[in-house]
Amino acid sequence: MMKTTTILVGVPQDAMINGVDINKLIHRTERSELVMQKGICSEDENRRFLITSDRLEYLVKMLVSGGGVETCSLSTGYFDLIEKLETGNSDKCKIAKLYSNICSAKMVGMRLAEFERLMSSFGLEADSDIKNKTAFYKKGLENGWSIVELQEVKFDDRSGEEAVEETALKQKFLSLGVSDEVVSTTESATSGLRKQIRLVISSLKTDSPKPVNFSDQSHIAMTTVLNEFVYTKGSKIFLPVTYGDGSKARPFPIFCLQNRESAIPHSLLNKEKFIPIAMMSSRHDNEGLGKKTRMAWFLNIEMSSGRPAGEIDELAYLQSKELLSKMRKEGFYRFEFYQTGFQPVVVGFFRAVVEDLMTGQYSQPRYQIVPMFSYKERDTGAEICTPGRSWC
Amino acid sequence: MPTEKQINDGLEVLKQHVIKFEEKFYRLNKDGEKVFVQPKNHDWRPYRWCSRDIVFALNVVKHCTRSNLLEADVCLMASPEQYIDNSGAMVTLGFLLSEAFKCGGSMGIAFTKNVEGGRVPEYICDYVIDEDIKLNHVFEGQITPYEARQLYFSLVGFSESVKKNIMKLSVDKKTSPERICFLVMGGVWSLAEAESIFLSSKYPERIFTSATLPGERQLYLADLYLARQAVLGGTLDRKLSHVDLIENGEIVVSEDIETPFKVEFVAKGFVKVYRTEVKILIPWLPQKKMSLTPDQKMAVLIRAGNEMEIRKYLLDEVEEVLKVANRFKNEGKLVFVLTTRDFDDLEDAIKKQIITTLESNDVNLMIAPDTTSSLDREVVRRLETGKTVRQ
Repeated sequence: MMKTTTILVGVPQDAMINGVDINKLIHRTERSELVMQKGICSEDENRRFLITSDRLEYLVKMLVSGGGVETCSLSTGYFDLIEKLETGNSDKCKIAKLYSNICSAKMVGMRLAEFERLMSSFGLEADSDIKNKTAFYKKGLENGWSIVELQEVKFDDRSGEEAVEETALKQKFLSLGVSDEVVSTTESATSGLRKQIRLVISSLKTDSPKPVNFSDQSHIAMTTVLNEFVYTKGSKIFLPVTYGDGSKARPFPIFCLQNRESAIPHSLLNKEKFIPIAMMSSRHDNEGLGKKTRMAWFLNIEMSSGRPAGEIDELAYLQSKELLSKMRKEGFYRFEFYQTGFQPVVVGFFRAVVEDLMTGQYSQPRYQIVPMFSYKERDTGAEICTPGRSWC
Repeated sequence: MPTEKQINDGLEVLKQHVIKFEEKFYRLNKDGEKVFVQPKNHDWRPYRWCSRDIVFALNVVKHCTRSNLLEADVCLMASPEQYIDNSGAMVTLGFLLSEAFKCGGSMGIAFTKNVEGGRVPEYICDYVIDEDIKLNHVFEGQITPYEARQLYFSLVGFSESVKKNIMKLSVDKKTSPERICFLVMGGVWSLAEAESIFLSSKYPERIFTSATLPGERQLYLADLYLARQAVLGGTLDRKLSHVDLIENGEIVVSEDIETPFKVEFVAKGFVKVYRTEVKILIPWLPQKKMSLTPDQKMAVLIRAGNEMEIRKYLLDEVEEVLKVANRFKNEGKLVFVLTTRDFDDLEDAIKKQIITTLESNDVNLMIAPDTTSSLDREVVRRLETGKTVRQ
């Protein structure tokens, strides 16, 4: 078993090693940490953070070995404790920055207060390691230190194997909710997806809920089937969503809307014509739908960025939510939504539509969206459009 | 065994698929050059699994979006005598199950009428019987997700204690067994590396789900240190298994011939114990040549670290290392300590002192060609790869 000890190092304001100002490096690493939390350019920032953290820890270790700085060693029990707290309390711990290992001098007071609050919420303030850490941070606050928490690995001479009752465990494992049924392979795309969603709904009541996988689904089947489930009466539930690349997306609300097409006043229906909108730019040729549509809801350059599908779904969802809420304030709109088959964008868009419509269910409809499915006719190659069920 | 007619028919179906695949996915660009366009999961894709000139399996598969399972239209395999029993079935199953997972489906596998008339292939059934797993829909031509889970689990070959560990993680809903199997079968972690992570951590799921973000530095570092140890151990496994073949007086790299050895992981002190069936040269010993013979066992204490950490493990706290080493020496094993190339960054006097202390206690030092930073880069790459794998 590997065990981890934590060493708290108080870095004085004038600490220099190999000509490097340690406090400046701490500030830089802290800034990087902040940018990562905001999720801006996270890949680049992750890399930058890893490099600066490595360098900082290496230099602080050199500072410690040179002597002249105060340190405080916490037992392996401290790390065991904070690891354990992560299970089930992850958000709380993240807010208190429990797992960060740097703290610049100006943040020591705030971090100390957060740490004390967090530990007392778990009733751990009497633990000796917690007391030692608190005392060291207080000392750091008095002396104007920055604090770096280093780690050292110990190779424990004990085995980490826990005694587990094997037969009972195997029984539980085999009874996890996995289908043992044969599935027909000759169904239509819509009935296949319908069946998949029903299975997911029934799995929500079990110990292991399954997500719906929208990758490789036809966008026509997706839009049609989602519309059916959204407008079916029932108690609202959220479908977990996943994609083939392993990424997850926000759950999709279903059984949550009533069709309100009939609530649109005739005066508005006569006055407002459908605005043809393409789902994404650069996806329709200039001769066909490219000419027919007036604008594109999403920019191809933003959506086709090679990111995980779950992230694209999130981006499409957030952008659409913002646009729809702006639109709702402006007046009544009707538009035809000329779709193309980019699944995460379709899911993100309709999730935003459903959530937006849910907020205005008891007032007069503010917009009506009719999905338009275009495909090429097999013999002539001509682009044909058929409308789907409307969302309003 | 499939009949000769079934094999010939399967080969004909394969041929047709290959023609269609090439027509569809090899296109001419505007300069008249032939370019390959990536097929989608729902396109029929032919695969051939070979080692040198020996074909183990021929498969044509696609993800069936309607039924959310993997469909196989060609599933021919062989079990060549010079390889282990059911080798073709194992290759095929490894591929089919990993592909089913990768495509994001239910893990179910369906065989079309073109596969032995629409049944689960006989070779697969033979393997399944040997593994004591029951397939209930052989003649309906389907492997259900429930059966696929057990097959995948048995195919990877985890030790019993790791199997228990994975079952517990699944029961506690921390990760799925399919994901762990995929990470091993897909080569992100070797079996031995995965085993050492499972057996030496209380929270192995953090590494296998790539759950820790770099910003949670304390947890991330703990994962990094552990994974670094596992990767260094894996590097030694690969070095020991590597065989240089001599053909016409030239050394050629062998892809499929490996030194037969067994490795066992001991979590107490992070030690790998090796036993070989043939005499092998022990690598990475500075200025020394030693061999491991079939009647011997070699215990290797893995200690990955930068020069400051090496100094701590092998000089300041060498007693700890010697305590672990003595345990294995008393069992009659040869004992080694494996560390990184960062050892070279230590002062000469300290290097000498470390080597002398170890050797005076019958412990030999092995220095891997990798440095801590190269191991860390490799760990980060694997953790990042894990992020794009289905959960």
